[in-house]
Amino acid sequence: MDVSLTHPLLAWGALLALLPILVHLLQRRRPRPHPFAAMELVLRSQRENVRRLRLRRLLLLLARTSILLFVPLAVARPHLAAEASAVASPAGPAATAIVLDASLSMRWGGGKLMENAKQDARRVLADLLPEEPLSVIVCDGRPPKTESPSFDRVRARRRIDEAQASHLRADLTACLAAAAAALAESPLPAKRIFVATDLTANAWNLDAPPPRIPTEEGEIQPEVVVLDAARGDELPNAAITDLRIEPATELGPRGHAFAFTVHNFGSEDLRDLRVELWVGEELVNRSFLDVPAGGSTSRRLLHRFPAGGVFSGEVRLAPDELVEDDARFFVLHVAPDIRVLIVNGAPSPLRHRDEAFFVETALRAGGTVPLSVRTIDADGLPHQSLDDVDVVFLLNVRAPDRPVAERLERFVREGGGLFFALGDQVDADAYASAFGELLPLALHLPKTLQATGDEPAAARFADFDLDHPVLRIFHGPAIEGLESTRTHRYFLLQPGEGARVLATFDDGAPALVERSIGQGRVILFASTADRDWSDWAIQTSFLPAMQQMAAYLARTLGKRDVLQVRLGESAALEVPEGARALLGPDGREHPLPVVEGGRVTFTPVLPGVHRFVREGGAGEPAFTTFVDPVESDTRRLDPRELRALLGGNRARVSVEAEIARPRETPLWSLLLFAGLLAFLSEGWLLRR
Amino acid sequence: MAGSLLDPRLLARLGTLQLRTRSVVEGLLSGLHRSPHQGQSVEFAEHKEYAPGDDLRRIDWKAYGKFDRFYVKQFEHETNLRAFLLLDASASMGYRGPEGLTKLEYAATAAAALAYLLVRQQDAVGLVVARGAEIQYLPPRAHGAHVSAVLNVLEGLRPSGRTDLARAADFVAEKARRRAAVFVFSDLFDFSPGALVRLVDLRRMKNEVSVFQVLDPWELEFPFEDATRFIGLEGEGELEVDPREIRASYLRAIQTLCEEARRLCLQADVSYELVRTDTPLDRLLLGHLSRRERSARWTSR
Repeated sequence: MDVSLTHPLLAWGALLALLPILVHLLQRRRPRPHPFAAMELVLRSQRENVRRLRLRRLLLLLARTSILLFVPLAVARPHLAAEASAVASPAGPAATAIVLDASLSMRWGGGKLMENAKQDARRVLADLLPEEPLSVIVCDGRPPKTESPSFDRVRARRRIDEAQASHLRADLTACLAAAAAALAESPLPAKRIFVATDLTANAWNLDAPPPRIPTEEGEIQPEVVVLDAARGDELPNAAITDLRIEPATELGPRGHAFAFTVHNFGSEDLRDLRVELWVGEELVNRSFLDVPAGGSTSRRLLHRFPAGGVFSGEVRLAPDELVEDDARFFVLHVAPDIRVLIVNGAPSPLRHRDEAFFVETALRAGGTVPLSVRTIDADGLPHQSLDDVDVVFLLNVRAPDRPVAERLERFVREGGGLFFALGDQVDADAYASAFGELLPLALHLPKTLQATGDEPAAARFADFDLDHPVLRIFHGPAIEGLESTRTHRYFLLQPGEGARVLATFDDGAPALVERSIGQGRVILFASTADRDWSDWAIQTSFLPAMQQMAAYLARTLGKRDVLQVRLGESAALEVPEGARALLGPDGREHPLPVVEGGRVTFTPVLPGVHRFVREGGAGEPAFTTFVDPVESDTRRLDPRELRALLGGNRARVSVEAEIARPRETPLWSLLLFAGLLAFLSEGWLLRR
Repeated sequence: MAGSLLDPRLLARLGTLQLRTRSVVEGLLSGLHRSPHQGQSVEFAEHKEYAPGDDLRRIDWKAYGKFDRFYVKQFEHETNLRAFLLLDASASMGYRGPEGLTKLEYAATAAAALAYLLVRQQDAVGLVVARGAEIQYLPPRAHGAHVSAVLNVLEGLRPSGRTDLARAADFVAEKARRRAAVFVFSDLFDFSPGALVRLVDLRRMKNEVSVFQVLDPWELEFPFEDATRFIGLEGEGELEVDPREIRASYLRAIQTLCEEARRLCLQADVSYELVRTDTPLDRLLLGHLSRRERSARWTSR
């Protein structure tokens, strides 16, 4: 604890306290000699009073010294100052900025850190001299709002009181720079920045130079005082830093694996840490894991959904001091059973010669897509109801009558899926006549490749649209299963508009094309789905491709991946029709701007599930958010390191012991009172 | 006029004791009454062998018949009173404040004046000067030349030694074999046990004792302000002190000393008078002599 003086020069007046002592000494040295007759009486009187006189003399000296010591000191306005409260450290008044760390990590301990930081900020505010302007900057992960230093203490106090720790990652280095920029607007030569933070390392850019403030005399380095809201304590924390949801084929259709990673940012190992998987309000699985200090552990929790639908839930850790990163939310579209009708245009008693054999086998093989497959001959199509069908596979089917074709078109327009595979039963003109617009591209002529030399003539797939949901799974080495396909006969397609080419043959002719019609989708493969014209049916890519095809045409594919957004980043959203707002996890609505193209950008600030809001209420999930794993890293900076980072001698880091002391206590009133007391005592002693 | 001349501050300017005494006595005589003692007688003192020029009427013829030689009778006047002037000439009596007479000068002047007055009315006056262990003595005589001898002794007094009242009292008691008047001039700064008691004991020997406690106003008022190094006149040592700090205590002590002396004197039927050295001497002596006259009338009845 230091004693600081507001007017240090006036404290020199305390030297006046030496006067009584000097006078005393001078008087002692020059008493007047006086021969006296009644010496015996003088001696008696002196003996009689010697103790009292000595005490009185001492008290008088003390009183006079006190008067001359206390009064000048009181005029110098001394006060007791804690080291951390370095308000008095610069000479004269200083323009001051308070940077209040309001990042996610400040929620540690149920908000205790934030309260400590606010308390520290209030102390700084209370300790400021009236002539010191102040700027308060709340560093909560959003772009810092800077304002010129002002003398409006009420406003500053309100800013501090209203500050809340966010769920975002804050960049204190940037906030410090903002504070420096704000202080540059003050004409006072002395500048000072207080940073109330938990000292977590992630908030600082360790490569950045110390803050500097441009002034008329050139750049100066402000004094930076870091107030440790954690009071020197460690901040152990465990967090789920990653969550991936994958199909779990071992559980059959609708089986999912929730793969997560837990990181332990504390200095002690975690044993038997409980992790739970919640779907809605139901605990569906749980596990216990050990996480070493400073390390991480990955684990999978499995769950098979009994039916299709949209499910939300979370993977949840046993809560610790920072609960916000102990859960990761998800929204999962679980595909319902897809009802597939395979129309076999060239049935055969030999299964491997049967037109539908390979497709039917692929769709019935099981996997991540739950499928219900029924196969009929082409002759049965006119009598087949399509009401309970989601996707129709037309495999080398002769062009149907117009009513059947119209029924198929209506089926598609109302949301059904239709897949064409061609073959020798297909006549281009008849197809054009029957299906017309239903075909993604009109058929032209079949092309047969001639063998040359020893190599049989064959075309390979090329130019894949791997962004298409159907082919997305073939990223990486899996593409080989497509590339190895050989096709020696296929229909050439006529150019047209409105179709999306998913893959071509290596001569450039479209191999797979897709088109949306009404609410439905149509995909056409320009060759056969059996081995007559192509060997795709026996390639490894065929089975997943068919299942993806069915799921895509049934409009269940692609809904599984609900956007996961890290807090602090913006989400580019495709706004569905009728959606007018976003509903946040806290129940607050955020209006959606009307933009062309149906896409908007939204920056969420809360973790959880965000939903679109329609006129009738909350609609489908828009995205989920999770806190930045970097912010979960609550490992703290060494104060010495931070001091070096902030400019060495111009920086100071205060820990709890210094902050916890009573704040600066004015001493001048006490001194003045003591001086008055000494004055009265002196008078009283003199009268005695 | 006389009053102003008798102011001790003015007397102090007169160089010699004789001058001071004359001034005092002349001032006194104008208001002094006649001697209270009536009918002096002549008593034979001794024989003296005749020498030419002696009064033939005083030849003792009876002695001539016995011794066949001429002897002349010598007579001495029978005095009305034998008085002893006991003067304390210790070092402490040499003190004086910023102005005026020292206590010894004041006391000597008063004693000399008293001696003159007493001799003038045919009283015999003796002088006892006490200076520590030393005592200077002039036996009582009533003739005028004796006054000069007394004045000469008083004139040459220099204060020295410690006050020893007991010793002086014993000396007087020894010399005053019959009833006598004893005038004591002292500051009574003899703090040895019983000193003052021995002095007042002279009264028990049928002596008429008057005690003049002579003190300087500065001793009575202690008006010192600044820090002072007090130096004892009788070898008590030195003391540096702020006089203001001990004034109250000192005044209590000096008052106690005076009151104790007064009390003892009154108890022993001894006349006591506290004399400040700034008191005009005529007032002192007139007052005292008036009291003595009243007292004599009262006792003669």
